[in-house]
Amino acid sequence: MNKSKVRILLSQLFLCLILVTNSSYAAVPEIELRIRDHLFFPSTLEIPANQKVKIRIFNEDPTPEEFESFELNREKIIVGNGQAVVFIGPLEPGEYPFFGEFYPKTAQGVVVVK
Amino acid sequence: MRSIRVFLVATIVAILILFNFVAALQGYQSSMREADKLFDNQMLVVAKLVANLDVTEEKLTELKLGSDLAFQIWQGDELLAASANTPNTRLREFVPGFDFINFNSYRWRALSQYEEMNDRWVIIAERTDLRFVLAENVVLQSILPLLLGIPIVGILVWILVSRGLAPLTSLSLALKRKPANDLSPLEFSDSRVELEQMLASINGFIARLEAAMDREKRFSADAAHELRTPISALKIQLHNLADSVDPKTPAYRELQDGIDRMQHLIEQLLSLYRSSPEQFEQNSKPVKLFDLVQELVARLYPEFEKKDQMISLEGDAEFEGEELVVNGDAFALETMLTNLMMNASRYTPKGGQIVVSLSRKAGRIRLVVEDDGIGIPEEDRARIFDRFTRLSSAQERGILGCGLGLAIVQHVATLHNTQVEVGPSRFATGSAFSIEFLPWAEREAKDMKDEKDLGA
Amino acid sequence: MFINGVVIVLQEILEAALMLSLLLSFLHYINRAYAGQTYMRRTWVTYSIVIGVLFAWIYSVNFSRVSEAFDYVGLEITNATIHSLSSLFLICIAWLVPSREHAGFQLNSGHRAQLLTVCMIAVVVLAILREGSEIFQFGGGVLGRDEATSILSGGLIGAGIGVCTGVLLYYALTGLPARLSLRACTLLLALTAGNMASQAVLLLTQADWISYSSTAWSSESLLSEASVVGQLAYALIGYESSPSWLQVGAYFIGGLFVLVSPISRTAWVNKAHWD
Repeated sequence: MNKSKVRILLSQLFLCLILVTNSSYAAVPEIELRIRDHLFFPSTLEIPANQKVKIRIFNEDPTPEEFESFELNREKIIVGNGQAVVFIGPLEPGEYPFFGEFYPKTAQGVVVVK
Repeated sequence: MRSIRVFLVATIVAILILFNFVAALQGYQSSMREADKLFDNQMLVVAKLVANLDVTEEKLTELKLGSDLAFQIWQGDELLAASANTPNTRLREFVPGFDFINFNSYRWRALSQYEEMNDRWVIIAERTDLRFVLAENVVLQSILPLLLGIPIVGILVWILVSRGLAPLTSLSLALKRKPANDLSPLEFSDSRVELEQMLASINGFIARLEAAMDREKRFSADAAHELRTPISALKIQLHNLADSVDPKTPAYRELQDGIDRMQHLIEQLLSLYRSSPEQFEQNSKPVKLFDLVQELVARLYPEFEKKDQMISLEGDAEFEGEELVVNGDAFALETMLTNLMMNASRYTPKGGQIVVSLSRKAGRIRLVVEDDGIGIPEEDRARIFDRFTRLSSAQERGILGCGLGLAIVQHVATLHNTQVEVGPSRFATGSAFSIEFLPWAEREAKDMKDEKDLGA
Repeated sequence: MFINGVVIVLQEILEAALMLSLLLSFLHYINRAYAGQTYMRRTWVTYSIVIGVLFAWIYSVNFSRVSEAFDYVGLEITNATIHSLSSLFLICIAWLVPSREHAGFQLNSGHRAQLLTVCMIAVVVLAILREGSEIFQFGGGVLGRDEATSILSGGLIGAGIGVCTGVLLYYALTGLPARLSLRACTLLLALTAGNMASQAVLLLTQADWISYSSTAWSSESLLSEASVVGQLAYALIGYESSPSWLQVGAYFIGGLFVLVSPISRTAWVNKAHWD
């Protein structure tokens, strides 16, 4: 069984579970976020309002980092020298700070929704 | 079972840790905030100094800055001077105040300030990670001792709780060590206010128990005397009555039966109360079981003969060269055996068989009395040992009895640390009563072991 | 970096410790209701902790592989599965705890006790797997660093607060009068089951496997999730400062399944006490 089949099967399972049927595979704007020396590059992400956005995070440090934001209600570990995908939005205009939970003193950033 | 000690230690230590650690965290956070303010104030001073620097090349090279501080001096769009670790662009907008910025692979605390005197914008930046580590190292010095202190606190709480519970432990030990027949008040010098009531109640119970046992002893002795004398008198009167009344008349017979029953009941009652645990301890000595059984069979033989019953004794005085000796009260054992054998005779019709057998089985001496009589229905077996219990099957057949015989048998068995078991006999009908005794030699060994356990 | 260690270790340990306390309180209640007879043993606790830590380590070692799966949202899918299963097992526990209604035939059958033990083991193993793997991830990155001591002492303080809160919750729940204790335990079980369901929804939203729903409320300014109280509220009742409507819905459905179980009726409806 290939990955997409597993994914579809599993997704249907979850969908049945919560009776929500909208898993959109449509193209979503994608932005890149890089982690280097426990810093976010760029540290300010600008995204359009009321639009779902896919953030692809590349961790260029050898150590893992956790992307976290209480305002965005997101939390995700990115392994060292790895990448991860986080979907956010659609969001109201405003500022949504995020930080790296493992190195919160340096890894700080903000999502600005316009 | 829940332990008071574990509960106290766990909750006290948990509360201590919780409060200490949360307080430490609060302390840490407020100290770090204060440190931040301190660093910021320092930056304001540095900014003032930098703003008034002479920006000629020679002077600047004399200014030795570590890599943890960066600055730029702007006049309009012209960069007058800057530390080597800054880019050529503005570090931040010309807005007075503090902010965080990222450059040169680090995160910096930056301050922009405008100096009116010489129309300069000064931007100062300090590496956040370095200033953070610097502050934290100071603050942590006050927190680490807390962490190291916790195991010590834990051990101290454990010791204190154990000390606090010690009187309770020694009270329960004193109660455990008290011999069963010792009814003197509990001497306990190490008492506490909390234990006073408990100790008073225990001693109250002991005193009442002693009084009750005294009354019982006096009753047994009095009853023995007071009841036996009139019955002996009645028997003599009955004997004398035979001179004037024909002993064969039904009225005389019934009177004689009535007096016999009453005498039997009184003797049984007395033997039930006579064998109390403390008397047993005093009277207990080695008893040769085979000799006792043999003697009783001989003594009771006439009773069996009256009903044409066959009584036989199986087994030998010795078993593999060892005598069958038990530790017990010979008189109590005699009462028990007599009751068992007379019961067998009573519940067995004329011409029946009764077998008493002695054997050694798995290190124990086994005594069985069985008959081919009417037997006991299985559902009744549990209650036959209750006092004054008489089965309907026996009453229907008009068998005499007061319902105490088997209660006495069980009482004696309990005194000898064993119990009576009842089951079907080897014959087609009837029942078998079996008792297993611990042999004398092994009992002694066991006693010695018990003492050792208690001493340890 | 001290505070880092505190926050990360605290939030993971606290959740697992409170879960364990809740289950042990239930177990205590069941055994007490059976008049001191041991209806369920407690030996499984140690084994499930060991198994949980082992699984957490295995999961942590394979983190990057899992993370790459499903177009880089493998972690969300795995964690959502773990949360859903936890919620499911918690609901099973609510339905399996012997209540007034099946106290009669219950005493003789060991099946219910066995099933209940299996569910409790599953919940503990899943909780430790979930929380432990994050600690392993964090710890793995820390070991070689200069600030290892400060992070480690922070971790110890976080672990201390988490474990001690669990201990106190256990003694508080078991120290209550039987009826009140049952009510508190059942309510916490419902909240935890709801929390797990809500977390599963959140993770699937993050992975874009289920649709977005608008934010129900935002109370970050009232009670920050980062504060100690916020963390406690999150671990105990699943407090979130800005949940989505779908999360709120999942929370209520999960809780509802517990609240309609026989044990809940015993706790709230039946007048006469069970023991």
